[in-house]
Amino acid sequence: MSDSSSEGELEEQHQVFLLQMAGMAIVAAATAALVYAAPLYDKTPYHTSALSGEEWVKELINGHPERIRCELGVHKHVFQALIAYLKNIGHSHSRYVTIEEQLSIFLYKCVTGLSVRHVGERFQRSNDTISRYVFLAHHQIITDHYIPIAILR
Amino acid sequence: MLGIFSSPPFYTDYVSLPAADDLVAPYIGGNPKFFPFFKDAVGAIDGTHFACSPTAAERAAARDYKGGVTQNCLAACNFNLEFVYIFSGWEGSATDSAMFNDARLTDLHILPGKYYLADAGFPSSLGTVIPYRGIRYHLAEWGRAGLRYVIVHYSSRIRSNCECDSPVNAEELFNLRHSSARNIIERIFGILKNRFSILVIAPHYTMDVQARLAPALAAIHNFIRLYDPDEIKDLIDEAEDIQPGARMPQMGDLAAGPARAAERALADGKRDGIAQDMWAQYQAELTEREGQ
Repeated sequence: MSDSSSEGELEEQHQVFLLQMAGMAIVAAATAALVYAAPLYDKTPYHTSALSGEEWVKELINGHPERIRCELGVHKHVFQALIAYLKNIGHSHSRYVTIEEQLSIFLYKCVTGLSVRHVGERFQRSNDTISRYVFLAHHQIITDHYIPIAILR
Repeated sequence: MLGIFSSPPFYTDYVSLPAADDLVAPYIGGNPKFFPFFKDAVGAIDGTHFACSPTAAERAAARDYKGGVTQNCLAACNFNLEFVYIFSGWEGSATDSAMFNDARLTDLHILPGKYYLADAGFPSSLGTVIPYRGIRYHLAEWGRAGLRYVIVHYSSRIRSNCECDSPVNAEELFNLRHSSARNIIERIFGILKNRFSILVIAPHYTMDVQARLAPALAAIHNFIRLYDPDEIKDLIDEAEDIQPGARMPQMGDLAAGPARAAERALADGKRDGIAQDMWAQYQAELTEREGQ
């Protein structure tokens, strides 16, 4: 009798122990998930400047004629001729970035030689966006037409 | 954008070699010191260095003669300050003549009878006219020539009759005029690097991306020349190439590479002809001035 009762107690203790373990595992998993996911919903926005890249480009185009020449290396009418050329070969706005801003990103990078991060700050864009428009090829393909570049041979 | 500007159609629309029916540029035709002697010159050619950031494995080869890490780039321009040819992506240690020989074997087609003005680092060939070696050449030397009365006592290499700072023979006259006409290539490099700092500050991209920068920006330079021809006036004063191509006068003969002996003899003969014509004109003008 006593044997069977102590056996039952043992069984019960074992079950409680297993339950506790399961509970701890669940808590641990939940905590891990929480820690992992926190940045996803608890984000601090990075590009919060009041002046977006698009607005800055508009300022340059409508501002003092030497301002665009200083920042982008070309006068307004040359800038617009480049835009016309790009549109003519079938290039256009992307979903979020106008063609004017795309060209400005490239020219600003070349004129200043700044890092992608700093150009991103100027245009209030992510590093990926800046890199994409600095490299961008016609129809996203760098044509394999021969350009005399020694290391590409 | 880099891909667009360094590929056709943009690149080929705005950077192209001179055509056979191009007229003599006003830069040559309007200057009695250059015309008619350089009437067949279509431009100037030289190498220049752009800062680059190669991988560790490639870094040693990119080390240039000044100790910087650069990519070397062969470029030709016409006398209207437009690029007509760009060959980029060479290691900083490459010599001008190596790049030139390679370029000629691939796609630098020089019209028969025409030539580019080049410095002493280039081979004397039918496509290039180079200065006489061992003779006063660089413009700065002419600027300092007023001091030569002092220098002459310390250097046995300088001829005795050089108290004057005007050319004393056909070779010196040729070198002086060659130098001032060829200077346009140094100006165009200076303008390009002044406008686009990315060529001076090494960008952290892979080398195939970095090698595209020079052709793309040269094409944009030409685009600006076409649509904004007066803008150049604001730039000309500040234009001086910051990282010029290698100049190794003492290694000139080695660097000149294997131009064929027969071709070199022809080219040297052509140069002598130009120099003699110049000298005859110069002497005639001096006599005329004395007569007045």
